[in-house]
Amino acid sequence: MTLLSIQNLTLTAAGQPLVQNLSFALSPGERLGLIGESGSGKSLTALAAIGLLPPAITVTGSITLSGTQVIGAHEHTLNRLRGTVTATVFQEPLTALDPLMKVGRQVAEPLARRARRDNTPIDLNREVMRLLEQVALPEPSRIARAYPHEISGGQRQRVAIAMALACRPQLLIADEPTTALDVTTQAEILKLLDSLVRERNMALLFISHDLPVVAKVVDRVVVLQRGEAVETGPVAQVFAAPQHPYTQSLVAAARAFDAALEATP
Amino acid sequence: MNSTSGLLRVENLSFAYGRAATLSDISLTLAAGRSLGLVGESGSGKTTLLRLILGLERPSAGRILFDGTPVEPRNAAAMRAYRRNVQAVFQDPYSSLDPRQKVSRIVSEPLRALKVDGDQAALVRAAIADVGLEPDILDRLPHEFSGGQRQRIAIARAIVARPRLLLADEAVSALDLSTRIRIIELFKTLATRMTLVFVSHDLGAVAALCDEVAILEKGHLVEAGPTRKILHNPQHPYTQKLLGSVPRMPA
Repeated sequence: MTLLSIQNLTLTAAGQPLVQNLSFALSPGERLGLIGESGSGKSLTALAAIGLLPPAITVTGSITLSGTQVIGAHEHTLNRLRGTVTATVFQEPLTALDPLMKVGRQVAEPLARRARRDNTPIDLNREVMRLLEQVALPEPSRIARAYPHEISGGQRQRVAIAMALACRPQLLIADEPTTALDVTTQAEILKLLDSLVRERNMALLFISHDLPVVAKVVDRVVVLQRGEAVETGPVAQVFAAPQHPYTQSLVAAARAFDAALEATP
Repeated sequence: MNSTSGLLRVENLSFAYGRAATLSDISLTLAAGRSLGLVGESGSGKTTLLRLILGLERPSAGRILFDGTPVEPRNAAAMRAYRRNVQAVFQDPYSSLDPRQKVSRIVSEPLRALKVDGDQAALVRAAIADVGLEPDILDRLPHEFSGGQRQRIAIARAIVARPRLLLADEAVSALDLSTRIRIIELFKTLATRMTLVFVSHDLGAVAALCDEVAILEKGHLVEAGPTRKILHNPQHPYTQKLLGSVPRMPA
């Protein structure tokens, strides 16, 4: 069964189309990249998929998560889907975490919710430690006692990933999860995401403006330009032989930077 | 100008906030007409070094020489003359332009502040042309422009007084890929007639633009030299790690 299915999605604000006639689907275990520059509608598409669009945006078309219609769904239905079916990691972990709550308690919240949902009592402290270890945080017991501002940006993003994993979602949505990070930290987080997604056979919807970053973690891409999908296909094929002029310009720009890095003295 | 000593010389420069050293014993020489990329991650001290070069901070030790003369942030008259020669462009083209002022007034601001003689309107028109914009934009307001166009306006403002040294602090980092590559091309053109210090976390951008590169890690200069030589054969483990972390397109 399809995990996420988006059919003819159109998003409009004040008469302006922001996303137009977008369709794509994601099966369990599949990894899809949504590529676009600012204003392409890639983040709005992610928010639409989890029913978090601002009320000023008009939605038409269909979005189903595990068979349940998201558009027009009751908040109760959406809350159940978020967590069991999907979890999301955003760009800026500092705004995703509560600054006044210790890291361990924040990670414990979705764990406790899952325990209530499944009606199986768990040892919260032990589960928190286990999750913090799984996202390769050093000294998990120290990190659990820290406030978000007391740890680094990369560590905060690991915490946000741990919280997303706590619910054991079938689909992880990651919206520019490494854009705010240093390049060496980005490399570590991409490796972590890649191995976690593969180990758990999770589906991944990875949203980014950065072509080489996308290439590291997905199998298939959809290229968005001003709200419209201009090209879609396996990542290797699209990056090797882009068909649409817009994709061609993006690939050429990315390769120009690679070429500059490879230039011989 | 004594070209062997460099247009810009940083001599044993250190800087500390309280007890924490943010820059330790940095020495660099940049010859006139060359472009230098200052590369580092957050906390490397690259922006602090740029602020010291601009004279916005005073070093805890060491000094900075421009064309053989030490930069003295406390000497207001000397700083006015210095500002004429050294201008800067910053990261965010949305916050660096006054939203209530027309482009003509934004771009001409350094001419008024520095009391530059001559035909100011002609200098403004020349700067606008240099950054690839049309003169009809002068009567418009910043919100009418895209991020890339705003950055062009900020660059026009920086070069309007014809500085000899242009400093850019993450000036392409907030831009989309296709815009970024065009603004790098613009900097490349400008670098043929002025000296450029380009601060960036992005090794790819620096590789595409700069003759020379200096790699900073936690306030220390770990490696410096010709860009191609260093990227081709990095010596320091940190440079190797940095270079190895840059994601590349699949072959």
